[in-house]
Amino acid sequence: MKCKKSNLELIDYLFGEMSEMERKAFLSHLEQCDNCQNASKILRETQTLLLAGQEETAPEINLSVPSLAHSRPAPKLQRLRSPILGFAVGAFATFLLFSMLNFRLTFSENNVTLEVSTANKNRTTTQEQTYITVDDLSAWREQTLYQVNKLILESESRKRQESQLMLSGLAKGFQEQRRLDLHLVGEGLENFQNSNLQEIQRTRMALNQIMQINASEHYDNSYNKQK
Amino acid sequence: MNDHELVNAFLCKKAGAFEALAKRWKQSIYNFAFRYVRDRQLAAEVCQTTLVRLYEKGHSIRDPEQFSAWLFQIVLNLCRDELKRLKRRRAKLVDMDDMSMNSLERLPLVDVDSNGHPESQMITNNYNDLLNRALSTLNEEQRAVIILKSYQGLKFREIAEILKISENTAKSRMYYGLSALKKTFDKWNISKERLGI
Repeated sequence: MKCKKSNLELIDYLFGEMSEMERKAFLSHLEQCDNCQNASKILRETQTLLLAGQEETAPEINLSVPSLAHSRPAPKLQRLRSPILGFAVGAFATFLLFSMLNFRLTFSENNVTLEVSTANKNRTTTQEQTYITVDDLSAWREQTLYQVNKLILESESRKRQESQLMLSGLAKGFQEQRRLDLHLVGEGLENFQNSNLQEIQRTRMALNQIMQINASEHYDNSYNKQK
Repeated sequence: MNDHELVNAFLCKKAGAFEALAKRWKQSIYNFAFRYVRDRQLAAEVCQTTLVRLYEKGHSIRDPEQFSAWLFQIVLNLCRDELKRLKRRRAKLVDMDDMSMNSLERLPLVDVDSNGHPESQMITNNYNDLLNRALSTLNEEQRAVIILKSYQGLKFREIAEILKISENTAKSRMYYGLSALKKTFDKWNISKERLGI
C-alpha cells in the first residue's frame, strides 16, 4: 500500500530543509513506513552517486579589470570627458549641419564646384544662375533636337537617293532587256517574212508550171480533135 | 572575508573586490555551466560572459543576499541560450558525423558493451563524463534543479527564485529528477558497490 506522505516531505527531509519538529515527526513515520524507507534509500543513493563525480577545474580566465572594462563597449560620447572638447565637437557638428543645409553645387565646363556657407545670402545669384542654366539647357536641347532632325532628314534623303538609284538601275536593266527582246522579235519576224515570201514564190512557180502543163494538154487535146 | 562582506565590498566599488568575488565564484559558475551544457568550451565561454555581466551590471544588485540567485540566473540564461544555439546548429548540420559534435542528447548516450551496459572500464575511468551523460537524459527543468541543489547547495527557496517557480515545484522536480536518474543508473548497472563508494 502506498504511503500518503508527500514526496516533497521526503525531499525536505533528505536535504535538511525541515524544522526540528517536522524532522522528528517524519523520522518517527519513517521508522514505521517501508515505502518511505525504500524511497529514502533510493534517493539518498542516487544523491551519493551524483556527488561521486569529480568537479572539473575551471580554465584560466583573465579577471583583470582593465581587460573586462575594455570588453565593454562604452558609448562614444562618454569618451569625451573634457567639456571643452565636447563643446568644440558640438559646435563643429552644428556648423557642419547648417553648412550642409545651405550648400551650393555648381557645374561649369569640366568643373564641379561645391560652396558651403552658414547663411543663404547667395540665394538670388544661385537662382539667376539656375535660370541661365535652364536657358542654356533648353538651347542645348533645341540645338540637339535640330541636329537630330537634320541627321534624320539626311539619313532619309540618303535612303531615298539610294532607292532611286536602285530603281533607275532596275529600269535600265528592264529597258535593255526589252530592247534585246524586241530586236530578237524583229529578227524573228523578218526571217518569218522571208521564208513566207520564198514559199509564196515557190508556190507561184509551181502553179505556173501546173498551168503550163494544163495549157499544153488542152492544146494537144484540141489539136487531136481537129485532126 | 565571507561572501556577504565580499558582495558588499563589490557593491561599494572597493578596489579588488570584483577580482576576489570572481575568483571565488568562478569555479561554481563553470561547474554549473559544464554540468548543464556538457561542453568545456561552451562552459568556459558562459563563465567568461557571466563574469563580464557581473562587472558591468553587478552594481545594480540591491540586496547582497540575492547575489547567488542573481548570478545563477545569468548563468542559467546563458546556458539556455548556448543550448538553443547548439541545437539550431545541429539541426543545420544533420548530416555531419554526430560523434564529432560535442553536444547534448546525442545517441547513444553511452558506449555500451554486448550486454547493453556501459563498459566497466569507462565507469571507473570516466565516471564524471558518464555522470554528465546521465544528467543530460533529464529534461532541462529537472537538470537545472538537480545541479543547483546537489552541486551548488542552494536552498529550494533560492532555486525557486532563480527558476521563477514555486518551492514545491522545485522540490517536485528534484524528486522526479532523482527518480529518473536512479532508473538510468540501474539501466547502466552503476551502483555504489561498483564504484567502491
